[in-house]
Amino acid sequence: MNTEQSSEQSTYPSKPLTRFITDKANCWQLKEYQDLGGYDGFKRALTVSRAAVLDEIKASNLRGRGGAGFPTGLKWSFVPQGDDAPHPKYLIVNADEMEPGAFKDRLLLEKTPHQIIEGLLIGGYTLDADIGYIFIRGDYYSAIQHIEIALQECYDNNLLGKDILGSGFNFEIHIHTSAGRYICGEETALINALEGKRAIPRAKPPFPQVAGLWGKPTIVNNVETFCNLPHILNFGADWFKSLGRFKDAGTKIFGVSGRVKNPGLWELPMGTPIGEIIEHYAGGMSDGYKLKGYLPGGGSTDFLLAKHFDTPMDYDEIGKQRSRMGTGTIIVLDDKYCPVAMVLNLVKFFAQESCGWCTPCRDGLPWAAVLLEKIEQGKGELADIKQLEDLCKFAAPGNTFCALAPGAVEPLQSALNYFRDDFEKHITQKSCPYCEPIHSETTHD
Amino acid sequence: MTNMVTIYIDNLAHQVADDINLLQACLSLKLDIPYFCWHPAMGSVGACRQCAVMQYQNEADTRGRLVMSCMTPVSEGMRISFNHEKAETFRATNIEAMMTNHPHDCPVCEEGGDCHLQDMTLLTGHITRRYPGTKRTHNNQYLGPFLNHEMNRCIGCYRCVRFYRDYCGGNDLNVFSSKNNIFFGRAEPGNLENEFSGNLAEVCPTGVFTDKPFSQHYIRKWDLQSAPSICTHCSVGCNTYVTERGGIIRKINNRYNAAINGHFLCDRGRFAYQHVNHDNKLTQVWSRTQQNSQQENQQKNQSQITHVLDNEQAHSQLSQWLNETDAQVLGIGSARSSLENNAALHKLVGGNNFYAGIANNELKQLQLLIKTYQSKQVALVSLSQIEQSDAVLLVGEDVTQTAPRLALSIRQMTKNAGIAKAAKLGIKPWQDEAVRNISQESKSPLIIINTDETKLADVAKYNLNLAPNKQLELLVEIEAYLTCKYAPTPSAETFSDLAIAIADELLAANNPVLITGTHSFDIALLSACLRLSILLRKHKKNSGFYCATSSINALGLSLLAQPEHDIDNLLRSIKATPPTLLIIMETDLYRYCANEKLSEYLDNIKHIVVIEQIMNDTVKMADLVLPAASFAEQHSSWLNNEGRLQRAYAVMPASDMRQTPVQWLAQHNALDDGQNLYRYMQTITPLLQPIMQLVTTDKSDFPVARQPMRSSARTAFFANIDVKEYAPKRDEKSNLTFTMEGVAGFRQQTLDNSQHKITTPVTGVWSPKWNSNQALSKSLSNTLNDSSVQDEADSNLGLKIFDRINRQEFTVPAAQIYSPSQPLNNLSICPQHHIYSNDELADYSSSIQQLRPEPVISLNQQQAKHLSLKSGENITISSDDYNISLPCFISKTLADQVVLVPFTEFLRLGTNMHVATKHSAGNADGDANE
Amino acid sequence: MTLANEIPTNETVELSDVEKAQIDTLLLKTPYASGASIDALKIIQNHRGWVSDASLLALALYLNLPLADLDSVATFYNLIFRQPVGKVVLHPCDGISCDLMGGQKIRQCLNKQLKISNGQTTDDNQFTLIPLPCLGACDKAPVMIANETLFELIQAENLPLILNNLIEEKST
Ligand SMILES: Cc1cc2nc3c(=O)[nH]c(=O)nc-3n(C[C@H](O)[C@H](O)[C@H](O)COP(=O)(O)O)c2cc1C
Ligand code: SF4
Ligand code: FES
Repeated sequence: MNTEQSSEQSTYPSKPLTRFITDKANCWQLKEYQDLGGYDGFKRALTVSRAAVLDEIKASNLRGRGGAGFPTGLKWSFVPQGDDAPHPKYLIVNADEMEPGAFKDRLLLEKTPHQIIEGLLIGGYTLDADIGYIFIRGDYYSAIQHIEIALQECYDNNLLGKDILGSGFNFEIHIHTSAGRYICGEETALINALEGKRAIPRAKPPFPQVAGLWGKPTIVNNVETFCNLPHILNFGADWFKSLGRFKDAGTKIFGVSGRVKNPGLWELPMGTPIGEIIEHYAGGMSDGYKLKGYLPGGGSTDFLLAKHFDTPMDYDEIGKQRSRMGTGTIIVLDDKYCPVAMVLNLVKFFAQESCGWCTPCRDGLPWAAVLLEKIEQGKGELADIKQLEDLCKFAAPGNTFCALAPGAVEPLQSALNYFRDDFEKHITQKSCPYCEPIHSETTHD
Repeated sequence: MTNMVTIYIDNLAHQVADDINLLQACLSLKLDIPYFCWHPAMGSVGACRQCAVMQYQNEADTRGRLVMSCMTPVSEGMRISFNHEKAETFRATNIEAMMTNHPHDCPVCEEGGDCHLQDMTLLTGHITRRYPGTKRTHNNQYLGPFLNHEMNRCIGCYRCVRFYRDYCGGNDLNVFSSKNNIFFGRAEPGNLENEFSGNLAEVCPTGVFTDKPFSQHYIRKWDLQSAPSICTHCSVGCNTYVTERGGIIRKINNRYNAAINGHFLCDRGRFAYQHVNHDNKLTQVWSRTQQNSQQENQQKNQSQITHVLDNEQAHSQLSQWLNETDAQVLGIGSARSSLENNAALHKLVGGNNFYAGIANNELKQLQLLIKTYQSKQVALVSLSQIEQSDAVLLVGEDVTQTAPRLALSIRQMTKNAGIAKAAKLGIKPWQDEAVRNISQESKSPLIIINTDETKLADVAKYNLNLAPNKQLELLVEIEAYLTCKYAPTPSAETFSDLAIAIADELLAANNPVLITGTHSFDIALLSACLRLSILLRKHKKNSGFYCATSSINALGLSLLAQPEHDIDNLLRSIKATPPTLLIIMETDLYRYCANEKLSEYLDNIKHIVVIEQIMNDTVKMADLVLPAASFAEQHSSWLNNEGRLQRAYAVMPASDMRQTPVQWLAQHNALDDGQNLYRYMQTITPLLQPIMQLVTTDKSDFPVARQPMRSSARTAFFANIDVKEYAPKRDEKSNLTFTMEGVAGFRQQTLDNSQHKITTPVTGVWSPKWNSNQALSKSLSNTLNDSSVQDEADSNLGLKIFDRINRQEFTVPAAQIYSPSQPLNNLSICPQHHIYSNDELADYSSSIQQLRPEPVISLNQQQAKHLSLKSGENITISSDDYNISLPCFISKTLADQVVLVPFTEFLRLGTNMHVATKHSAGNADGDANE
Repeated sequence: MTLANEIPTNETVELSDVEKAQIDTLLLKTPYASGASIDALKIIQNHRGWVSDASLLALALYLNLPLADLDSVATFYNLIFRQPVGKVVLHPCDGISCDLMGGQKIRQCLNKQLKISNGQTTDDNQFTLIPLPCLGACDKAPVMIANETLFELIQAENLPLILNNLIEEKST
């Protein structure tokens, strides 16, 4: 293998996650990946003890990129270790990306399948796991295709299967393509889906780390989380921490969608200010549009405004502004699109995707959707706003069985806060003040 | 281990047990915490979110956070608030959200007034509807004769599927679709297949699943009279409430008994009552006399006239026959009649002339059981103890068909391994979903030895389908292995892997239970079971034994009957010397005997008196028919298969001329006083001594109402008949009133935990604001293992007679290994049981009739090939006096060398039967005539 | 590779050998048959276009799983079709990023052109219209998936051409 050639990238890259993404059409394949130093992180891991790898990951301060930002090393440390630990242990890549406005995992899945596999292998080795799953959204056809080929390449090259690279470590990876439903992204619902059940979240405790898939220890992490591991192993925890511009470590794939000049995805340091992402990378608003607000981390985060542009994209900093980092994919609301319609779209989505298990979500969200539709159509009453506020409190975190419903009301509650006059105008004018009336659409199951 | 801890609810300190969840603890403290998805028997899943309360970290914490009380364990010093505004608002919004799709159709809903949803809605203060949208609607399904389906009423608590699937193991009911479109039902319309489906009517907190026969004669709950009763349709003795109005039984509800049925009944028990309302029930005294002397010699049925007698005539007729100079009187007692009735007949005819209305081999089995129980070498366990055991060996009895509630308990037992596994991770048993996720496929061992696969097969570790002689061999081998293991002999015996594996499973358990039954009619198998159980108990102190018997009072009847005083011997005796008078009490002999032979014998008897509830073939042979009160019209005592004495109360006065056999016979047996009757019982057997304690509760100082306080029609009961109101009937025999006057019987149970010791019967459950059966949750004792805490002497649980006697020596004879009954094909002919065709009275229930299987004779593939039979071809089985010809069913799971015959046909065939041929009856006759 | 779509009937169906073989490989990977149920349903759907009652029953028998369990799962997931669908299933995105960029207009054009509302199939059985939420291509909004292909930056004018090509592709 020609390590020389990849030296440029492998010496402390600043954009580790996307460093394998080149202009080459087949940059996602094994040879290209290895040519640029792929699987070096895994090989390094094999040279040290499991505990040492876990320590490195803990030290890196890596936080889960699936939305909640839970420290990955800490999560992993709950997995039972040692000779009497139950087996098989499972590692699952959560590639079910379905959050409105989120499109970052698809990039990694399509362009760097080996990076994900390498992350899984590192995790598998660290946790003495036996089987990995890639749980991928069924609509990501080309990603599925690439992963299937990549897995075969690994089996053919002793990177998967028995006695991998002569290390004595055995590991299998299966791919499961989902049959739909956003709730499958919730990690315990995902486990139920893998067991061939309805994707209803599970009660915790027990946490999956202790009793997950088929009752065995299981780790679920986001695609992007896994992608960070090879680099942490390769370049060390200190390097990783140094990448962030604020408190959080590493880089993150940020994205912007909506009426901006240059919608897209960029790998940027954690802590990059929101304004910089929207104004600089996304090129600011398209001509003729003004920014009204934005959801900083996808469809289940609270609105923020232009006045929050200085906030670094760091888990706790965004939290301080009463929103969330979420998936780090920003959805921009312009001044020509009705905020009520936007929230209606989102609440309808979440009502539609409710698994049907707990009351606030199953019956509360459709109720909110009915009220929003009523307001949007100019048939609302002021009392409806109070009802919407009640419903936001109703589905607050802790009140529901999982985080779907609390996430669902985040855009709503912040819209009621920031864009309240828009709601009131709908009611007093008895019509939508934004140009295009939104017709109610028949829903689908 | 249960410890008591102090918790603070809205700043008041309370003592609660630490093994239950916060919701249950609060309910037991009489707090009105609303809930839906929790159920005391099924635990918590946290789905409905109705039970929210505020929890605080400590005294300093003023913010608190909302928690679901059902998902929260109690712990020392924990602080919660039920009344906090945030919690109150949340609960109110929650129910408001649930009701957004509810149709508000209470006026036409069978659940109305008995509805947990109604209660909870009012309790949380949701009165005004704010939701402006349309409601989602669903199509309903046909679910069979037991349940109605009205999906629009669903509030999505998931209790139905959790009960049906997780608790009962049913797999034809499920939840479909998602979000607020979830649908609970079957994949396709059709009969619900599980034997416990009827409980859905009680488990569903609203009116999605309601009792179908009930809706055919529907009455609002508050207009129903109710009395505590015992289910008489199998030997388990589940506790029920029977409800009535206008002389019609309306519905059976579960009556919580922590030791037996807990919260659930089987469908036979719930729906069999329709025999009491049957068109053919007997209500008058009929007498048949010979027409005239000129036709004296002609056949009976050509010369008879039948007429109705009044009470006095009936008695004088009976008295005349009893006192004929050459009178030779025999009586047949009944396994489905009360102890009182049997004792009264026993007194009338005398012990020597009293025959148990059961077959010879069954009586032998029962008397072997009694002797063994008296010797106290086996520990008789209750259903709740079975549920808590950790291994079951189930031999020779398809309990789902013969003692269904027992099967449900065995199913619960298999979950204990998973519960233990979860406990290791700190998960409490009531955390239902978590326990299931952890336990996955791990199950406590259930080993089934039977002729064919049963409905418990899905949870069994071993399903061994063997011919009876092979079953016996295996048991004897296990016994030998155990003996050897604990007292090794020099001659090294060898044992099969299977025998060793089974024995090891039992020895690995802490409290293994051996369960069998008398429905194999195989005394050798029963002896082997008893011997094995005795041996096992020597090594495993906590091992238990349970034996299902044929009928509710089979064990009680065999206490009264002398050995060999059974139907077979009765017929033998009649054949030799016909008595002048035969009194047949509540036994349809035609179910037990070859019909032609029986008619021939009966024809030779001068007078036949039949005391019976319903018209049947035996009644048709009677010269005098005395109409008997049903279980619902009499106060009665029953001895179930564990030797548990229980008391049932009449819910209504006996209709027309119906009386209990005790009453019919009172004038003739000098036992007209109740006390005398019970004293007489004790002279037959001292085992029945505890009955005195049981019946004293009948008379307490104050009356108890059978009607709930809210009875809306106290003075309008007969409005459709007459403008004047009749005086309510009086109940002379108990302190229950047929009115709403008296202590509110419905409220008694809620006092259970207080100092008041309840000695009066409870006629229903009720608690302020709780009108549905869920009121029970307010009175359950506040620890997890209810039965272990409840006082065993508490007469609410019944009295176990074998616990109260001194040990008597007895050695169970070793079982003789036999060869199958018919050497030719090496075939064993065994009875096939079915929940809906096994029980005599249940046969008269129209909804049960609809589910009766077509009678077939089953055999396996090899056997069919051997007899060159194709599926559906007729096969004939003959005995000395009887033969049957039925289509054959080729079973994939049936043991080799076994033929299964429908139970009643099996009884009629008697002992000496064999497979005649697959061909027509003509051929078979040739074979059978010896 | 989709076979002619199965027509709803009361008749029983048998799984094909190919289907059985594919399901068998699934079963090798899972400790319990139930673990294969969703993937198996997708296999059936790949071959038959949708999952009819009859094929659901055939699958239940093959996997030895209760029919109600399988249907409970099948009806939960929205990409398992329990009703017949047309030759081409159109999944225009109705996520918020697409709507911000005029996604709703695209869907309305589809409704108009095909003369069906969402969830319906055209009379000639060519198209079924099932909008899906956020398809994960928000920077290229509005988007649509059909025939396993993602169409980006859709403009209403281009729809007739897109639809035409889809049908042709399917017919060859
Ligand atoms: C309704 C819901 C949907 C979710 N969807 C996803 C998803 O699509 N992808 C993902 O990685 N995490 C998703 N999550 C978060 C996961 O539950 C889980 O926290 C995450 O996979 C953990 O990975 P991480 O620690 O690497 O972030 C979702 C959570 C909820 C409540
Ligand atoms: S909040 Fe409740 S109903 Fe909604 S998805 Fe989570 S568990 Fe299901
Ligand atoms: S009873 Fe507690 S959540 Fe349903």
